[in-house]
Amino acid sequence: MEKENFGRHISELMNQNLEDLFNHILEMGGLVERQFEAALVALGSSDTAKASEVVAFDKIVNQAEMEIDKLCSRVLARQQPTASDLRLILAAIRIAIDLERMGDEIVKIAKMVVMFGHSDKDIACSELPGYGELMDISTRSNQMLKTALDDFARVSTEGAGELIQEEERIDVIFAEAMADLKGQLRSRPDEVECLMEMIIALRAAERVSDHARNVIESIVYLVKGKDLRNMDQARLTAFLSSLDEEQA
Amino acid sequence: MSKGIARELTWIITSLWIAIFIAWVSDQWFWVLGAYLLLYLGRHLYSVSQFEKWIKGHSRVSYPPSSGFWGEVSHLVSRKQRSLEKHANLQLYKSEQFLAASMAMPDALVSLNETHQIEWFNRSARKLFVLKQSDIGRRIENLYRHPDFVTYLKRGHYDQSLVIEGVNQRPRVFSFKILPYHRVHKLLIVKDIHELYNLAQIRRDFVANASHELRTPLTVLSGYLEVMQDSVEPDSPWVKPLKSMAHQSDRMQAIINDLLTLSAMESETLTGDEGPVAIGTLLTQMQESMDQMTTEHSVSFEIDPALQIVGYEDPLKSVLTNLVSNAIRYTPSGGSITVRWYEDAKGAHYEVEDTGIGIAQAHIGRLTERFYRVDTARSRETGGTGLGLAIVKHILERHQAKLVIKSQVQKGSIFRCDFSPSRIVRKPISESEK
Repeated sequence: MEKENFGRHISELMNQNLEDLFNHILEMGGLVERQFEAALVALGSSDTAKASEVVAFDKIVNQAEMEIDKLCSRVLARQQPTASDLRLILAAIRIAIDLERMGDEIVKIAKMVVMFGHSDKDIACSELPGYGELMDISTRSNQMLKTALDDFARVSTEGAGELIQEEERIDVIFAEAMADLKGQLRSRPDEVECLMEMIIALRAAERVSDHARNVIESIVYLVKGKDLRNMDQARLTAFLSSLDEEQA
Repeated sequence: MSKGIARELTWIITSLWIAIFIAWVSDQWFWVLGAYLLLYLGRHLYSVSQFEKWIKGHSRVSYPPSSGFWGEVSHLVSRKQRSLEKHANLQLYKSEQFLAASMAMPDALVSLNETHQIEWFNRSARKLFVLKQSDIGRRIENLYRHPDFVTYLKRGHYDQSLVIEGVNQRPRVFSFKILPYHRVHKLLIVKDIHELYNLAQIRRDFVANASHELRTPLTVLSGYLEVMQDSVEPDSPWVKPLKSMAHQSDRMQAIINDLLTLSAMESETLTGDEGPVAIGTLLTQMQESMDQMTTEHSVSFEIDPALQIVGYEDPLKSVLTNLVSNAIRYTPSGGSITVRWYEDAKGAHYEVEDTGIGIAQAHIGRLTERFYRVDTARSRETGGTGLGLAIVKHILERHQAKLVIKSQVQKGSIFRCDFSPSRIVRKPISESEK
């Protein structure tokens, strides 16, 4: 974090705590990014060992979340921050929860790879319907996560507009994939288990993108003090275009 | 005499002549000389204020005083300033040139201060990490968040470089290295080592595959050789060639086995988990079977039976036997060999001392290279594979241990493995061993 953002506090301790919190969030974000990348590799090459690694990785992510919780409550209890400091802490709590959930969803994807690897039936997950969409959604979600964290690191809302549009695009892809899978379920009743697993993984990948959107909403709240969640479509579009103009 | 004083005196003398002339003409000596003194003082004060204005550079219209002492001073000051400017320009040019050179580097460079905030970065780093000019002052680990990198950065000692596969969606292998420089600054260098990494991978795979492929035909050959040796008449001229062939095929098998062990070590696929290894027990077993290895040397053992270390059992076993069999091979018959397993303040040590032929200092550094031989003819004769010490070195690296070799030609050598104290576990001596 650059000095000018957190360097104006009379209380040096508070300053230090806020900076710690900021760095912790990004460190945790790095963990989830890494977890997701590993899951993508596991998914791409049906690597069961790597997928198990991803599952085990979740413990570290959960620990990181608890650490952030502790830091937040410490600052809140001892220093009663106000204004942008308070917003940072609120945003940090929210982002940490979102990141932790993302970790959980990524584990679901990895579990599918593990399951296919260990099942008796000789099915590669890459041959199942919905695999292409799963890869597509996962790659996009991963990019969204990266954009959101980059924005947090720079305390800017630069990627917000693009990210929210991307999330809506993913919703469309997800809906199409679901419709396709419904049809497959009817026509291939003997593969129900595998298809179910694929549906769960798809859902998980889509949820990651939702959480990425939540993260960027928290960042907009942190930087601009505006709450995107209760905006209707028209006001949201207007707000996002005003953000874009600001940057241009 | 200084130039300033000379100029001032010239002015005083000239003006004083005029004043005296006026006083002589008007005959008002007192008033004229008084006025002259006031004038002189006023001129000085005016020059001082002019000089001050000029030095401050308040307005563009202020000129330096041009006559007398102050004129000379302003002249000197402006000369000094010009030379300083020239120097500064040169420095600026040099530093710009240096910056341009660092920009042109194909490796990504990022300079960090003591809290890992970015100070500057070059073009490659901008591309690799997707940095912006406004990111100067931000922490590098906030923008590049790979957990391995963050741990590397936090650890604080950067002797080794860090290899990361895939940076920001680029599917290549990068090596990260941090160099501390200029007091508290750090230079992060990221090199694309994809080709190198692949080459090493190809070499490893090749060695492993080739050895594996060679093993089967060799087994067939040595099998038939054995059969032929059994079925040949004892007085046949083929006895000797067959024996020699069998010996050589055994050697070939030993080499291939060692190569396979080495490539397994390198590809980091040590099977099984690390656990406490009872080196003492292993050495006692070796002591019991010593008769099979040599009857011509006196081998003595000094073992601390309770001393154990955490590690991989089978590879460690091959370290133990490799060093002892080397000692046997290079010690003339009648010589003595001492095997020690002990602990001191620096950790656990496994030591093999012999009274053999010794190794010249020049060779010691290269001993652990593959197929490196001090005396080619001799080692072929004694049947070594040339890979033993390479394997030992690799296994020890796996245990963060070091191989220390001391030797004197014709007197003998000491091979010592140093294990760090953190690996030591002591086991209570059980009933059966008492």
